[in-house]
This record gives sequence, C-alpha cells and structure tokens, in this order.
Amino acid sequence: MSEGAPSPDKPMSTIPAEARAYQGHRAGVVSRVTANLLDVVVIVVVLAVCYAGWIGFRFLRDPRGFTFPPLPPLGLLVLLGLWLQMIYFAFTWVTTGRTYGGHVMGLRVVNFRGEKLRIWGAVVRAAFCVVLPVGLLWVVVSRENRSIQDVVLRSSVIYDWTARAPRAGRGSSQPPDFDTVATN
Amino acid sequence: MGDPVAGTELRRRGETPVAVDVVIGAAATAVTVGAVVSRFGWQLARPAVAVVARPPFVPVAYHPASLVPGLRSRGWSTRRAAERELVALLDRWVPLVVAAVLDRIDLTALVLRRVDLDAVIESLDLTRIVIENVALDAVVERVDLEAVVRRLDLDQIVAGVDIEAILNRVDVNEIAERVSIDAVIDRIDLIGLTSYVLDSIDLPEIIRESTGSVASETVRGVRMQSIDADQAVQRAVDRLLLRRKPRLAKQDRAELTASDDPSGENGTSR
Repeated sequence: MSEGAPSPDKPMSTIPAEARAYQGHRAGVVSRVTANLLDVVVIVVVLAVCYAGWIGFRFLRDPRGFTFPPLPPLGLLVLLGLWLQMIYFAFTWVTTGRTYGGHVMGLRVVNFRGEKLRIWGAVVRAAFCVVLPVGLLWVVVSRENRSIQDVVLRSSVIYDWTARAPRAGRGSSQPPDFDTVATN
Repeated sequence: MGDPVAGTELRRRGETPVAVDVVIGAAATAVTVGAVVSRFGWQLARPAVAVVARPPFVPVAYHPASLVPGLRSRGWSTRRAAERELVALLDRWVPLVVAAVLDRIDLTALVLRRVDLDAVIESLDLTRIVIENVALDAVVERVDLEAVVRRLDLDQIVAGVDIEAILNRVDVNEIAERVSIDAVIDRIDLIGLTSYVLDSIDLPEIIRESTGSVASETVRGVRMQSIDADQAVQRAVDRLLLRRKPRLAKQDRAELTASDDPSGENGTSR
C-alpha cells in the first residue's frame, strides 16, 4: 500500500497525500516566520480589543465626561505585548502544542521526545522566544532546522497537520511514530 | 471308368493324376462292397458262429466262447503296452520332428498369410483378459504420469469441454447454502481489506472535496506553499554553504539515529 496506508497500528491519515512526506519534519524558516507574524497580529488584535474595551468601560462609567484616553507609551505597549505574547505562547504550547499562527501554518512545537512541551519548558521557551526573537533566524543555517531556542531547549517545530496534539510525556517512553505520515 | 465325360471331368479337376482318383474310387467301392458282404455274411454266419462258439453237448469250459475273456484281457494288456511304447516314441520323436519342421518353415509368415488375425482378435474379450490377467496397479506405478500429463494439451482439452452445459447443471444456490459464510468471514482480514480499499480510493481526499470549505482549501494552499518556500530556502542556503549532505530535518527518530545514519536518508533532500 502507499504511504499513509491505514492499518490497525497506523490509523488512516486525513492529511493530503502531497503533504504526508513532510509530516514530522522540522519546519523551515518561511513557515515559522509566517506563523510568528500571524501570532504578532493576534497579539496586536488582542491589545486593540483590550484598549477598545477599556475605552468602552470608561464611556459607560462617565458618558458625559468621556474623553478618549491617551495612548499608553509605546514602550509600555511593547512590553505589555511581549508579556502577553509570552503567556499566549506558553499557554498554547502546553494545551494544543501550537499557537494560532502555528495552527494556520500546520506547525506544532514538541520536545525532544516528540511530545507537547511541559509547563515549565513551555514557559522558558516562550520567554526565550520573546526576549530573543531573532534566534528564529538560526533555522536558516541550522542543519537540523532548529532555532537557537530549539538548540538550547532541545525542542522542535514540526510540520503536523493532524488535529490531535501528541500527549505530554508523563511517563511515556515511547515517542510518537511520525513514520505513519512521513516516509523520507 | 470308360465314360468319356467322367474322364474329361477328372482331367478338368486339376493337377491330381487321374490314376490316384481311380485308385481311391476303387478302394471306396471295395470297402463299400466289403461292408455289404460282411454285413450280409455275418447275417448268414451268425447261427453257425453261435453254434461253433457254444457247441452243444460240450462242457462250457471247452466252449470257444469261453476263450473270449482271456483273449480280451491279453489284448487289453498288449494294447496298453503298445500305447505306452507309442507315447514314449512320440515323446521322443515329435519334438525332434516338429523342431525340424519349424526350422524349415517361416511360421510367422505362414501365420500372417494363413490366419485371419482380425477375426481372432475380434473373437477375444480383451478387456476381460486384461482385467483378469494383468496387474494394472503395478503397470500404473511404473508409468510416469507427470510426463504423460506434460505431453497433454490441456488448453485444447478444456476448450473442448462444454463448460456452459456443466454450469447449467450446477445448482449454485444449493452450493451457496452449504457454504459457511461466517467461517469465510472469520478468515478474511476485514480491517486490512477495508483499509486497503479506503487507501485505494483516497477517502480523505473525497471527504475534503465534498466538505472542504474555501477557507480550508486556502489554508491548505498556504501551508503547501510555505513548505515549498522552506525547501527552496534550505536548498539555497545549503548551496551557499557548500553543504553536500541533506539536512537532518526529521524530528525525534532522525535525531536519535542521525549519528548512525551517515547516508542522511532521514533528511529532507528535496
């Protein structure tokens, strides 16, 4: 049977045939940068919504004396955005293994066992990514498609178009078999 | 004998000399006459013979007829002895004579010329003779049946079979009733078969085509394009860095076995 052939041990893949060969492989820089840009957009949107919510709250509290509040200083906004992004990264990596940008681009963050990151691993990696986003560019020259964060924390960002995230490895010594969808 | 017609007839009969037939005719006449004379003479002489054989007034012990049993017994003994001598003589001479005769004739040619072998064979019940006298099992054991089968043109034989007629005589429904469907199903790897069929028809693709939205198609396209872009960037960078071996991009297992895999087969070499 061809690749992706289902069997009792290898459930039928819902991934398009042309993408199966890449599943489980570490993603390249284009996919990861695109996913991160989408995540930045998400953060910006969240901040904008929060700001709009704050404005609405002020309007409801004192409609007559309402005036638009001045924008917070840019540094504060950036700091707030980075902080929010770190929480967002850590939360999504622990729960589903991927951010919204990763979801759109079909990427997932896993540890060296191919499992979802544990809580502290996710927090440290999120902080690392927020503090040193340029570390992502190491993917371009890395022979293993790893960013600096991945090299230090032994994590990986892989192509994974499946909906179900791999379980966090509590006592699980068996890494997920990416060969079910990746053959080369 | 002076009849000219009879003489002509005798001459016309062929190669046998006329004298031979004359002698035979005379002998036959003599025998016939002798028989008649003897029968007639016996009729006349019987009373006299009876009187001579048992004369009156003569004791029975001296009757000539009383000599008959003794003569008969002696004659019987003599005849038996003669027969034995004759048999012994025949046993000794007949083989010699027959051998000498057979040496002087071509018996095979004689049989072929004189014997109607077809009639002989037709009169024989060969089937019964073979069944009763031939050890057919021993014959079959010595036959190389495989060689015989190899020489057969089975295709031609099968072509001559009226399979349609055979099928018409077969009650498929009755056969089907005898079949244990459950046993057959138990022997089938239904899961494997189903998986093979699903894989052959690419069910996921059908589901995607029937239910996929424009958004999911767009996402799919974006993902594939990003993967292609990743590969292109990798190839370009690797070329700039003069890398000959492909990247070890496969996660986990490749990571564990990379040091054991100098061929780099686990990498993405596209």
